[in-house]
Amino acid sequence: MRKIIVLEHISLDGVIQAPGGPDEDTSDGFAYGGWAAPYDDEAIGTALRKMMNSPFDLLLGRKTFDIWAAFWPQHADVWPGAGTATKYVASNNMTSSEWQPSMFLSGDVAEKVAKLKQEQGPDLHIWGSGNLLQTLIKHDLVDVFWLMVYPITLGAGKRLFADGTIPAAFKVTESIVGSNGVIIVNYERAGAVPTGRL
Amino acid sequence: MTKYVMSNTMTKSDWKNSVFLKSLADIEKLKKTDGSDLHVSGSGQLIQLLLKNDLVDELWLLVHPLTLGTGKKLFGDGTIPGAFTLTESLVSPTGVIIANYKRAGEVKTGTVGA
Repeated sequence: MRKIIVLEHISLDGVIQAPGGPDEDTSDGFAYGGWAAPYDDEAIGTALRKMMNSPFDLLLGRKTFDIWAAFWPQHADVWPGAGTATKYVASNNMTSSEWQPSMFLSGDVAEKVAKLKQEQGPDLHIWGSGNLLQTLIKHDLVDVFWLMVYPITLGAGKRLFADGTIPAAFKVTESIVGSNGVIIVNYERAGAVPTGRL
Repeated sequence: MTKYVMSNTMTKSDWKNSVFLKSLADIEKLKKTDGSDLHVSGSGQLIQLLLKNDLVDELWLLVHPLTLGTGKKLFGDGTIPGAFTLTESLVSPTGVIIANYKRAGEVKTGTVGA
């Protein structure tokens, strides 16, 4: 079975919108695009390269796919993996792209992703894709959250864990603290939320 | 230890050393006085007021490896954009991240890789 691994830059208050640059995603008047840039360091670079160089296919929302399709084909030297991976894209309108290999999922995306997980192949990595993530989280399809937690609050913007997030327990399997206060942490899905008394 | 309690209705308590505050101005005044640091625990509504008015100097958080989906949130609507310095962190064997964040100015932006 293929795992679904969510990779996100995230603020302390859970925002994942436009970490990379001012023009990445300005929807709803988001004014803090590029908030991840000042924290770039060797620890983050090394951890990112490790994930980007592991075997994977990509599962992306249509908006993230559009951003990537306009960027990565021109930057294949930086990350050839993005080009060679099969890109599974959730979209109700788009059915093909010049950026290959790509496949489009429409209709009941949760059901289609659940089927995709059963197939043979490398793990499925998700970056960005704030809308698609909500569907996956709601249907408990995410196996791993690989998060880079930045020491900032943003107050507004698209959240990783929005309404519809299910209660769930996770296991921390790895954590790294960068020199600039970014905590990189790997959470693996681990059953229901246990409760008790402190 | 003095308990400062924010309340619109309560003005005293049998629990010794408790002082009741009515407004944001009371808290701002209290911060300017001499004395030990003020620890806030729980107090989901009070924290919203403090965060909104940039009165929090430090966040000492225990981040449990759980999603809950619903419930009172630390960072509700009205949280202001702000940068912090991570001054201490450790991960417990059960996966709880214990982290201390100190307030450190405005959120800065740039372009990754630029």
